[in-house]
Amino acid sequence: MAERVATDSYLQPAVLARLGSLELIARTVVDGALVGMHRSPKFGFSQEFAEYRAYNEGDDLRFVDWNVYARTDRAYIKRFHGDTNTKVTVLLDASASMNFGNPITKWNLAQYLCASLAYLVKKQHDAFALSVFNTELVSEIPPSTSPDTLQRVLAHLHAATPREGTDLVASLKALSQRINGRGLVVLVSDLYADSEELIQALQPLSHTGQELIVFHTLDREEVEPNQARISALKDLESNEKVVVAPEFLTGAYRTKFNEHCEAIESTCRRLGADYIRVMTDEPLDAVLHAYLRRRETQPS
Amino acid sequence: MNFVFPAFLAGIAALLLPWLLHRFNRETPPETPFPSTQFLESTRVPVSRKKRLRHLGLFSLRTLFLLAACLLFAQPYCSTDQNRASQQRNVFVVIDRSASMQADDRWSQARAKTAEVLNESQAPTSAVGSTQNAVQLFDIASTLTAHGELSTELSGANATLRNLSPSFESAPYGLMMQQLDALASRLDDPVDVVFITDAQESNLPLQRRLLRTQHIDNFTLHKVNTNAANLAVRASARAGDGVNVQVSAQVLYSHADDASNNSDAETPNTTSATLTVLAAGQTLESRTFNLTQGATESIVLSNLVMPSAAIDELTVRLDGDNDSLAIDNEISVPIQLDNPIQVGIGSIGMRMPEEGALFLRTALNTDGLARVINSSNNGTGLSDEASHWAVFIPHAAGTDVQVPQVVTDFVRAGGNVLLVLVPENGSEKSSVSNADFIGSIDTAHPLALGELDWQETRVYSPVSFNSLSTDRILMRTGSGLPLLVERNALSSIDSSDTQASGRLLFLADPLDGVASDLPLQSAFVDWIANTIRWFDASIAFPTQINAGESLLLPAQTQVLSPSGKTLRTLADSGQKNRLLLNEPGVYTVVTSMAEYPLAVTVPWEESNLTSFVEDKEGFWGQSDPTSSTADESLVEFDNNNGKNNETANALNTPSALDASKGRPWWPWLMPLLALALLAESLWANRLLSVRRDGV
Repeated sequence: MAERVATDSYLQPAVLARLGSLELIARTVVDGALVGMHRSPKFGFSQEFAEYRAYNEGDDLRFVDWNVYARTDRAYIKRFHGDTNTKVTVLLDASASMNFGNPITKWNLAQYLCASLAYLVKKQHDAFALSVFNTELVSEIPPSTSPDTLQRVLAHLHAATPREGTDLVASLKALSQRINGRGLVVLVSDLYADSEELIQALQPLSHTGQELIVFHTLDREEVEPNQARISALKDLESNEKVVVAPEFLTGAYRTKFNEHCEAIESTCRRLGADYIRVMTDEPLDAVLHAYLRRRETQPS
Repeated sequence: MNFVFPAFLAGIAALLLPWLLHRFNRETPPETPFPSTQFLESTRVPVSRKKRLRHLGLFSLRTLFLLAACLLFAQPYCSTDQNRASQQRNVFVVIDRSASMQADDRWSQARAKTAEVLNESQAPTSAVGSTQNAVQLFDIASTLTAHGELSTELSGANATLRNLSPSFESAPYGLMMQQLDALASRLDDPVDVVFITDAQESNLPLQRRLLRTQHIDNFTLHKVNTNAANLAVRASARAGDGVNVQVSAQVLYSHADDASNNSDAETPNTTSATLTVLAAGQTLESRTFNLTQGATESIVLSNLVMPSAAIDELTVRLDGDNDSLAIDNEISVPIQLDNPIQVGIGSIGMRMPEEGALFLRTALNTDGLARVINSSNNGTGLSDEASHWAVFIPHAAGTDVQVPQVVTDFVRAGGNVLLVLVPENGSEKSSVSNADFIGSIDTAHPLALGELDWQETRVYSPVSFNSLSTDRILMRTGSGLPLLVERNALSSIDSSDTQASGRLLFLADPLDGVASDLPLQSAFVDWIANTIRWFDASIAFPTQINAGESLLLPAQTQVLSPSGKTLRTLADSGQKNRLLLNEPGVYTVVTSMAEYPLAVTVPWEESNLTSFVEDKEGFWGQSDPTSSTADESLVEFDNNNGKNNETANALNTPSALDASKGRPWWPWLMPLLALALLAESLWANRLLSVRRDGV
């Protein structure tokens, strides 16, 4: 049995309060077994009209549009869009580079983000799956709508520790083969990978009809490093040390890093994925609220 | 610049440490964790001019700190003799005038060598400099004596040298070197010392470091080379009954054993000698024996019968071959009689109390310490027959003690008196329940009252009297009444500190066994014995001293030389002072009480002619790292030698003083060190971005 973790460890009341009125709705049709709030690829019983179809023998007479029949003397079956629930799979990067940041680390930020998403998904009665990976899959919670899923997710987040290196591309490729059906895939990572390789990794997901959301967790010190003197910067994943001058960090590095971020964002745009940059020194509720609000207002 | 502890300069090697730190750690930047080095490029550490300067500054500061610390430990001192080679030099020529220089032709050798040294010393040391050296002649006997002043003119010194003759005193080499060092410290120009001596090992100080000096540039020792051998004797004689005498003699055979002397005649290591004891020209005993070089033999001749009771001194003579120093072969020895201390018991202004006199006499006769003279004094004065008196006087309770004039005169003349106060109306017998005990005791007093057992002593009715502020209360009763008081030098009569006087005690107990049971206690006998010994020590004179030593004499005391000549003027004998006796013989010390024979002998160390070996010469004149300044007390010359005082005064003139010479400046390094440490700390913290909030 999973260890019971206090929900307030990762679920911040301020965040939940702002997410209370928002929903994470899939923009594309999704596969689901239950009725939900997401559009299903199948016809169903929602209020939203889909099409007319000529009556065939055996069709349920309840769906015959008698008004049309009266005018045209032809029997047509009225069909409606189906509403279903969906499956939200969160891919969480637990590499050592996530253990960096101030005032909280990127890993802490990712924990809060995952917990908040799990809460949101649970509220919508959608299935939630979690895959924690670094160089390989570390742990996994299969998609589930059971009431204790949130608690299991929190326990997983509590138990996971960022360590070792990361092979983002390989991990995503492996994970994409494990995800069946259409749903939402949320990637939470600091995305230290080549943008072209990242495309190669994310394309399979996109091609299988998954809606991608990429949360790029960053710390201000890695975006705008500000070392006063020459420093030996030690890679948290490879332990490699690189002696850099402050002039490089304030100049060439920032340019390179911004280009990397823009490339990632561009990649996500090409895949139709949402790209959200989350900084450790920014309030998570504001970021999530703004994103979800934008999803609601922008047409799919 | 010189250093007191130059070994600490090895610490300068520690400068390597900051150099290593700055050389190898300068380019090692601090390690900082970073999420990924994917976008980082290794940067060649730019060595900006600004940064290099900052580090060099810190390095300089650290170097300065270490350097200052090393110098601080090495204790440098300034010396103004940078160009000493071209400077005029001061040359102290010292001739040994001790008794051993009388052996053979040592003195003539020494005098010739001194004259030669005087002439050589005057010539300028450097060919460049044209000024002549200043020379001063000294001699060393029991003290260092300067002759004339530092001068380039030698006629005075040569004339003085011709008039000098060896003394009977010993020459303390250590004291001499310290005095010369002190004199040298006051002079601008470098000082060389040339010492002409017979180099007796027995005159070397026990602490060899006393031979080392700081302010003497060059020290030259000229040994007077003779193979002189010597037989010496010293003795004492005691007679219990004035007829049978025991003579204790010590004899010594020594020779210079000078290996550098190429004389063909080799001095034997053993010799035969004859010890003869004579009384008024009559031989009492004669004994022949063999002596070994350097070994002191003790010989006791007992039961020598004196031909006449009037003879109070003996002559002890040692004869033998291989003797080149005659002054210590014959010694006049006063015969010390084993007589008990004469103590008088008397009363003034009252009849002698039988009980008190009985208790006192019993205590005094115990162990034969004293011989009691009974005297019923009638106020005409205390008899000179005894130097110590116990006197009973009547006393009215609660009044000041009226010291009889005869007692005052006696004490002023150096006698000692124990005044026993007897109540005029007699002691009242009190009940045992009213008994008081001995309370406080002055344990610091030489009478050692604290060591006696006063626990069982009960005091019933002590005699109350008013003590003076100058009185020293030696013993009080439990209720605080004074029981035994020492009156300080008759302060109520004459407060002059130059006035010699005896000792005066008051005992507030009539010793009748009624006022207290003090006389019945065993502690009473011990206390009386202690008191008599303390009394006797105040007037006792030594029976034998060395030539060159001074004798502390009280007032009203005269000293007669062996030839009967008085040695103290009338003015001198009126007050206590010291008298230097520098010729051997039997002197007579005459006090108002008695005459004491005093034998002045040649110092025993002068009789030992063994010269020190070469390696001990290495100590002479080397810089003494353990003493930064010469002991000023050694600079003071003997007060009895006017010539020395004149020289000392002349050397004390401002022109002769050099405040900077030999002055240590290492104390100034301390603030520099502290400043460097502070600056280094601040600077390093700034460079290393040390946060003080602990984050």
